[in-house]
Order: sequence, then structure tokens, then C-alpha cells
Amino acid sequence: MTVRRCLVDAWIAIAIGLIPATLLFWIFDKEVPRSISYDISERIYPEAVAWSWLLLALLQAIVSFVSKDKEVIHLNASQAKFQLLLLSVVFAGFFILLYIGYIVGAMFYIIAMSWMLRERGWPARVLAIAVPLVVYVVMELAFDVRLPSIINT
Amino acid sequence: MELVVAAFYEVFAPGNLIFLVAGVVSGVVLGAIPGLSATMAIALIIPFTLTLDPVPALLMMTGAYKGGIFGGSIAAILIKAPGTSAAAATVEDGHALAKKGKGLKALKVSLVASVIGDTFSDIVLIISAAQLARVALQFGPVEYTAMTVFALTIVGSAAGRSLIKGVMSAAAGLTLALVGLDPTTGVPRLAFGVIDFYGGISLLALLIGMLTIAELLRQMEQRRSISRAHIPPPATRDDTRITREDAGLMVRPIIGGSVLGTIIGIIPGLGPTLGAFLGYDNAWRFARRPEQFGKGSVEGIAGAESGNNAVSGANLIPLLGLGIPGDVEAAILIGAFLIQGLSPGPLIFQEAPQVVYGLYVGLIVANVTLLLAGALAIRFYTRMAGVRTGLLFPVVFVLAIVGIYAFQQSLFDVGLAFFFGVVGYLMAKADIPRTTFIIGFILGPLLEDNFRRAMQISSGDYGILFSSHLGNGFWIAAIVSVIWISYHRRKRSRTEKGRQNGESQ
Repeated sequence: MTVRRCLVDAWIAIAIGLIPATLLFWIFDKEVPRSISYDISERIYPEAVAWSWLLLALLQAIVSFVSKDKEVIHLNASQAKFQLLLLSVVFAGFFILLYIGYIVGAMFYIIAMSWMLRERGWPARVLAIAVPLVVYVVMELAFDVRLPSIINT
Repeated sequence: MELVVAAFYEVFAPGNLIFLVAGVVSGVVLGAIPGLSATMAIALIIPFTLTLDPVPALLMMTGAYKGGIFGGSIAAILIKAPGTSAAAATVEDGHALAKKGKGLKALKVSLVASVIGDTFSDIVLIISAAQLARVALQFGPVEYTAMTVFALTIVGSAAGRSLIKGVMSAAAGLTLALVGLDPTTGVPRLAFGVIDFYGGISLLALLIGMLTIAELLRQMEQRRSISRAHIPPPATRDDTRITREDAGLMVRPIIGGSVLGTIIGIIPGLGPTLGAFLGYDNAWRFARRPEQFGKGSVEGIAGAESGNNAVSGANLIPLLGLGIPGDVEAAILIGAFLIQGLSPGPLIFQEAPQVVYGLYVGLIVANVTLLLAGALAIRFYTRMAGVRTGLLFPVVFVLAIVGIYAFQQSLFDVGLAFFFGVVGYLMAKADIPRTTFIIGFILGPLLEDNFRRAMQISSGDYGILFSSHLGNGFWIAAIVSVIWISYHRRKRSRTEKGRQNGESQ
């Protein structure tokens, strides 16, 4: 499937523009102090920055919508599948780090990522075991840093 | 003079010299691996310098930076896979020489040109940074506000393909820098009740997330297939070394590249890519053998590499003199300064002169080290270009996680780095420059502090921002540079389209 790059840019700019808009019209009210010090509001700078961001996003959206550029982007299902899988591996690994510990998490990352990169032989398996263990020991002995593990969590 | 002597003692202390050499070697090794870069090398090294004193820590990182830039040219020359856009100017001539069995000659030309270009710009840095800082000490909040906006505008407009996206990215970085305690009242701002946010967003998590994790994800997605094109062995001994004739050809392009690269480096945002292409263009204009360009020209490699590397030293002039990073590598170095408890800018010459002089001496020693380490082990480094990235990328990913964790022993920072990694990856997909986002984040506190001080002086009247001649000069420079950059961007895009149409017909 192909789509025009400028249309994609326009929708991305609108999506990005929602962030400063949400900040300005909702979050700043709750999260930025309203007080006045030295005669000026504490919000003067945060609002100036967020307004600049919002205006630039709107400008980008307008410029992209009216652009006559015919450059297209090819959307590829297998590439999208790979991207989703990659991001899933990143987050799954983070939860393993969080709840099981570094060694298992690191092994998971090396095995899963090298498998995705078509390295499925013994070198990947050896690295998956050796690298986390060596790094764990080096960090403990050389830097006095104990990486998270079941033993100490 | 006492400071210079003390700096020599400090740099040549055995422990510090080892860190410098380790930085240079690891930079070359990481830079030579396709998909990794000088930026990634220093981002990965930062966490391991936290336990060091400022001087060895900065020596290790500057060594890695210089080594990484040269390492990038190894992959460019041998397998036509430039690790950075700056090495792209070297690719055609370097790889053409390699295909003629003169790969080692090309690498040596690149090494010598890189070291000379770099040393020239370091000398300019040493002469001029303190003078610039002296001028900057006269700046008030109005001038600083205008200068920071000028730097952000020029960095934003020069990065990436779209001017608006670049500046928008800088504005997003400035907004992210709001998280933490309000600098005037000390009340939490945009912290959402999370205590870990009270100290602001961790700069290291942002750097490693955006520069290392995002880049690794991007490289993994591309599943780069390295073309292992047959590189023939050298036919004669002259094919492996710089001959007297080559040396004669290299002089003029190296001088031109060094001067142009240094000028480009002083202006924030223009970066090494422009330095490399201007150096290459200059070498072609004044070439003794213009017919060799594109077919393996020693002059082309010398011009591009000296132009590329001369940017790196000059980039530190606005960093040390004004506290403004010229490109992403300088932004990482600012991060390293901040993590060490130092604020780069005009005051650093008064507050920590020993660190500045240590850095100066270290830069020159790093160049000599690079020349020696490069010349002695160039055959070893060339093997790095053929490393199996499918095995290496996951290992580097794990090392990045360990690096972030080691900083504050916080899994919150690891999660934050993953978040920025994914954001950076999506930004790269949407063609939004990450560099300007990071520079915006780093310059946020400087801009806020000066903007608020200016507003306090004028009781909220915005007119004060246009009340100083110097400040107005910066505003005008910002507008002129945006117009100039967009004009050249449009011209270049038209030329590229014309060339593509010509090729398709």
C-alpha cells in the first residue's frame, strides 16, 4: 500500500499538536503552579513554550495538507509486523527485568533479538548465557553495582 | 602557565592516559561497526565514567568521540556503509580505492586528514573559547534569551529535512525540560505526583534512550545486509601506504577542509556533514587531478575527512564559551559535564579552569593517540567492519540497559530510557530530528532562567526582549539564518529531484 508522505506528515503533526494542546488546556491547570512571583506568573514560560510547540505543529499540518509534493511512502505488512514484534520484545524484556531480574531479562533480549535478526545458531545461545553473567560479575566487582536479580529484589 | 603545566601532569598521569587510550580505541572499534556511530559510542561510555573524576571522564569521552568519527570512515571505505551522514562524502572515493586493492592507503589518508583537521580546530578552540567566554560574561538575560533562541532556531532548521519539524522538535524538548521543580518557587511542576520526576527527567536516560536504544531499534529493523564485496589484496607496497606523491596531493585539500570545517563547527547546528561536503567540494575545485574524483581520489578523501573532523573541535567553542551545544555530540558532552557537576559556559573558565585546560591538553593528546593507535592497529580495526551485527546489536542493547541502571541504580530510569527509545524510534520514522529535541531539552533551563529574569526586570513586558542591540543582532541572525537555510534546502531538493528525473528518463 502506498500513501502520500505529505498527508502522513499532516496527520502526524496533528497528533503531535494534541500534546501541547492537552498541556495548555488541561494539564497545566493541574500541574503548573499558578502563583505570581516578582510580578510575573509562574506559567509565563511554560505557556510560551507550549504555545510555540502548538503553533509549529499547526503550521506543519497546514503546510503538509496544502503541499503538492507527490512523494509516497510504501507501507509494508511484513515490516509493520517486524516493528510490532520488536517493540513487544522491548516491553516484554522490561517486565522480565522488573519482576524476575537482570540476568533472565538480558538473556531474553539477546535470544529474542538475535533470533529476529536471523542469528539462530550456537553463537547466539553462547552469547545469551555468557554476556549477562560476565557483565553481572564485572559490574559487581569493578563498579560495585549489583544489577537487579531475584536474589536481591 | 601553571594551569597548563598542571593540565599536562593530570593528562599524563598513568591512570588518566589509560582512560584516554581506552576511549580512543573503543570509539574506533564501535565506530567501525556498521550501524554504530561516534554518538552511540560516547552515549554508551558515559555511565562508565560516573565514578571517575571530571578530567579522566571527559578525556575518555572526547577520545571515544574522535575515535568514533575515524571509525565511521573504516566502514565507509571498506564496505560502503557510512556509519554517519558525515562519512558519506568519503564513501565514493574511499570505496573506489578499496576496490582497487588500495583500502589501507585510503584508510591511512583518512586517518592523517582526520587528525590534522581535528588538531587544527582544537588549536582554534584553545585560542578562541576563553575570548568568547569573556565577551559572553557581558551578556544579560535579554542577550542570553535571544542567543538561545537563535541557537535553537539554527539547530532546528539545519537538522533533518523539514525546517518546521526541526524547530517543533526543539520546542518539544524545551517543554520536556519543564518537568521537575519550578526553579523559582521549588514547587513540583508536571511531575504528576511521581517523586522520581521531582529532580527532572534523567538526562542520561534521555540520551541513551534517544541515541542508543532508538538507533539500535532502527538498525535492527533495517536488518542491514552488509555487502561483503570482494576487496582485492594490494598489488604493491605503495598500495598500502601514503607515498610522497600522495602526501603532496593531500596538502591543499587538508588545509582547505580544516579551515572550512572549523568555520562550520563554530556555528551551532551546521554539523560535520556540511563540513565534510564543503571540504570535498573545496578539494574538487582546487584539485590537481579532478578526473580522479569519484574513482578513488586521495584529494577527495583528504578534503572530506579533514572537513568532517575539523568540526568536532570547533563545536566545543560555543559549548565552552557560551554553554550552547553545536551538535548532538556536543550535547552529550554537555550532559557529561552536568553529570560531573559542572556547567559549561563562560563561568567554567573561572569555576573549573583545571578541567578546561585538562580538556585542551587531552584533545591534542587524543589526536596523537588516535594517529598512533590508528597506524599501529589499522588491520585489526578493519575486521570490525565485517562483524556480525545480528549478534552484536542485542549485546549492545543489553550494555545500554546496564549503563542506565548503573547511573542511579534505578529501574525507573531504565523504563524511562525505553520510553525515550520508542519515542526516538517513532520520531526517526516520522522524519523528526532527535538532535534538536535533545538540544532543546538541554538548553531549556538556560532559556527559562534568562527569559524569566528578563520578564522580572520588565514586570512582564515582552518589549524588553528587543531592547538590546546585541540581543536584536541575535534575533536578526535567527531570522536571516532560517531564510538562508530554507533557501538552500529548497535549492538542494530541486537539484535532487532534477537529478532523479534525469536518471529515471
